[in-house]
Amino acid sequence: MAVQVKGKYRDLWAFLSQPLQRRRRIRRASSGSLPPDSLLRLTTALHPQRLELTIAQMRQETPLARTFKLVPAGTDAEGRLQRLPPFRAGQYLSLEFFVQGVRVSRPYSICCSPTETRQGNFYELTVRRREEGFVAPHIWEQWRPGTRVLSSGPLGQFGYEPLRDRRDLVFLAGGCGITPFRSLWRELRSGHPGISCTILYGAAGPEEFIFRQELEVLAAEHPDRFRVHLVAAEPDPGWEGLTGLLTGERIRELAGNPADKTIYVCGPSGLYRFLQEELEPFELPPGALRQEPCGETENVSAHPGYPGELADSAFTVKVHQGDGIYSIPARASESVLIALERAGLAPPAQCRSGRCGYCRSRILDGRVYVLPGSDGRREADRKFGHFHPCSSYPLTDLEIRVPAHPLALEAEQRTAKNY
Amino acid sequence: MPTDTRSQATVPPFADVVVVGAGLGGLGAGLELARQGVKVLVLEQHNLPGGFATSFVRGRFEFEPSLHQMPLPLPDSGSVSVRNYLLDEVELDLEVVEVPEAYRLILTERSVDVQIPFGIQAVIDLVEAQVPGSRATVSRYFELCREVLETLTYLDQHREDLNKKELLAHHRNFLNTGGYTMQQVTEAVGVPPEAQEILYAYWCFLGVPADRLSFTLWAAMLYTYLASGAFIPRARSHGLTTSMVQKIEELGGRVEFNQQVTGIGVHGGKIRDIQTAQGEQIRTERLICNASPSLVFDRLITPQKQVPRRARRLLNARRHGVSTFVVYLGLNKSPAELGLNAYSYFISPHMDTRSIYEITGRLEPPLMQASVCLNSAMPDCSPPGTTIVSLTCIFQPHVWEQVLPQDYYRIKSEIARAMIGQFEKALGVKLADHIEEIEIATPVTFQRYTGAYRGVVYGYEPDPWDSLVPRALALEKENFFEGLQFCGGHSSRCSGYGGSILSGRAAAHRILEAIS
Repeated sequence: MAVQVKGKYRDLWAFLSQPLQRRRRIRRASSGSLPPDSLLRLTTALHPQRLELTIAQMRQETPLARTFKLVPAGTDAEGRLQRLPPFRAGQYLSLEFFVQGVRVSRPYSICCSPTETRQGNFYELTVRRREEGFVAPHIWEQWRPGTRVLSSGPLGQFGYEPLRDRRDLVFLAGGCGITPFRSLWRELRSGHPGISCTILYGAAGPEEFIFRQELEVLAAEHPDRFRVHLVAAEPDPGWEGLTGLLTGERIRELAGNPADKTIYVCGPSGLYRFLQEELEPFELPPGALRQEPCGETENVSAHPGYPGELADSAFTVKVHQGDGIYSIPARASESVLIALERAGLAPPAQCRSGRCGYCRSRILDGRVYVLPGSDGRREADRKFGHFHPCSSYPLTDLEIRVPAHPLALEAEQRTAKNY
Repeated sequence: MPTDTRSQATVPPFADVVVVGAGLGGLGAGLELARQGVKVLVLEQHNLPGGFATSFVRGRFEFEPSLHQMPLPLPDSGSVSVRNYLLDEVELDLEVVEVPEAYRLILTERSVDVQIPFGIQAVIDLVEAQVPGSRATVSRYFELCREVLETLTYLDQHREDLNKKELLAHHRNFLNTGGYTMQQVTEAVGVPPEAQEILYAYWCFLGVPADRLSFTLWAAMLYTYLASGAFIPRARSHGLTTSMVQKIEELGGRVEFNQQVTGIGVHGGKIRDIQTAQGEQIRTERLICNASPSLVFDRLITPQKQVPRRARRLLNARRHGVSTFVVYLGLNKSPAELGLNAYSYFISPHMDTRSIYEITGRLEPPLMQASVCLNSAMPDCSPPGTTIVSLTCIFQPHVWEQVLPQDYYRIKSEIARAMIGQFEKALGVKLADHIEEIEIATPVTFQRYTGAYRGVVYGYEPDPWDSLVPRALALEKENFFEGLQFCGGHSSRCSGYGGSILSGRAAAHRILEAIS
């Protein structure tokens, strides 16, 4: 049956004239450049691939912890200081370093509040010195007011999400894992009136509590909304506070029944595993216990399920990257990412705990041990042999394909400028 | 430092064909070229393939970011179906599942709540039950849509030997409706307004209101989905795109990630080379761009003075389509406990596409959302006792450009909250109390990961003058550089998963013709 819309000839003309219409529209349009992509301006302001920062101030928190205030080093077209991207309390920056000739990254939680960043255009990071560390001693020695630092924009999903979380929060921090919580309590303190929060902070000894005074003031000024308990594992004779470990029972005594709360954990990797077991009797709904792993696991051989007999082995990894093929050594006890970094291959990396997938690479041959709690891979990636080098440990010799760092050239040019 | 075969280069110095962007179009192009034995190099700025066709993990959930459904092949049709192409021709390692029904439509102000099945006859019966007396016109409407699709298939098959007499004699309805909008033709056929509102739900997949959307494109989409049904990849879109990458490499092609193209060198109207953000150069004479022509002509081509004025006028004449906003929810209750039984939900106060579209031009909660409960197609897509739901709406591209960085997180949270509330109210269910994981993607999020120009998802808007047929007819005339072809949502087949993949295949064929 023939369909007519406006009449036999008009219909046909409507169709046949389309190329004419198109030509006419094109002819009438401007031949100038397109207007700038204004969304890109917002996207770049929120999620820059790269931030150039300068250390503005440095403050000693404890004998082993320092807080650094970082301000933008770059200026915009009009010569004004660049605005730092806003962030959500709990997020981190992935900083880039050149240490002993190799390029490595480390995630550090931002420890000032989003409001402070908005008002003062700075970030704060607190770094604890670990003698055995690779990057922390470098920071300790190199970072002074005026030092330039390369960073990602704010990243990560750790933190309070009003659409998801309960109104009763528990922050469980171990050691330098207190840093993202400082951003959180500073933010929650000024807004979010309905929120109540118990902060349980465990550290080795009294000397080790970072932000101790600030926490005491917080609890004293907002007794109805913030309760703070410091727990020292190895107290000295003058310590009058709590001692021992943050057991499930302890948590229940101090914070109330964990089952109706959202619990956030940040600290050494052992802490999270310990708490998972301790909190098991309370049958928390999945997702109510939220973890910020803060980078790599310290001791993979301590993981149940890791083939411990391999811990001292060393393997060879054949790496395909771009047009190059490299043969590099890898220790069983270290992530494949570290082996790549040691070899100077500058692989991309951000969260360093298996989740963000920024280091996603492919295994062509061989096997790796993937940390069970840190296997953030997609289903298809597991099927097709992709892996996240930051949470994977060699079990055999490997052949892998690793993407180039997206900012390789830029970074190399910066090295030359002594960043 | 290893010195064995250390090479500073991260890309090869030359390639037969370079594909810029590993979105669906770029992967489709790479796949077809690799299948034909061409040494193809696909460059992707992100560290994942697929562009919008990807996935992400939060806690126990792996979310599908953008796909709602892809059409199954039409029985007795000679047209190329994306499913057959991927599974039968290419033999992709890909598991797919069928979507159980077309959609549940809830129009809250109109007291409409219907579940539309797949199958044209079943749809006609259902619409008749809702709108008594509509059977004759609705049947005629679908017959017309079928004819349109038939002609499109004919045109596709007779690209080289188009016979005008044959077209005028046997494809008259295609011609008679091809110059009009969806609204003009639907009214001309006499589909009652109450039936229109039931049948119009899919308009938001194209993001253009009924009074501007090309009828040809609309008819093809509506009929394909309703007649043949739809499918999704089991391992999310990432399963599809990762498998495509795997296949390209198996066939001797190469896909490089984290490789942003910063310049396309031209000389004397021909493609000469590619520059990357790494500062490297790849010599090539043939290029397929998944990136938008706007980006290519206005930014990438060097020297810029070689871009013809006509190309610039074309860019300025076209209108960018919409972007999307999605709330992804991992819920700690099963679909049965939540009271969700359909896969696809369209929720709106009414189906006045003009006013719904108008609101998408403002920074406020949308009137209409298209939402998916993934478990209804794939019960085991999340752990037992959990559900994955995503709520999607569209925004015109200028809307999010006005947002100030300091307001961004607040605004996205407010819109997400409103969309969750709208879903709960329309269905009489509770989601807010069961959220275990949530993620919210805005046009900014999509641009961040895909690099899409202005964050647009659907390419240029398919107004009648810029829809399937005019784009196809203009292909050669608008081919401004020798050796350059486009694929993806901005190109000749318009947007959508299937169209994008097949547009890559078509671009590959044009390149192959040029080679031979």
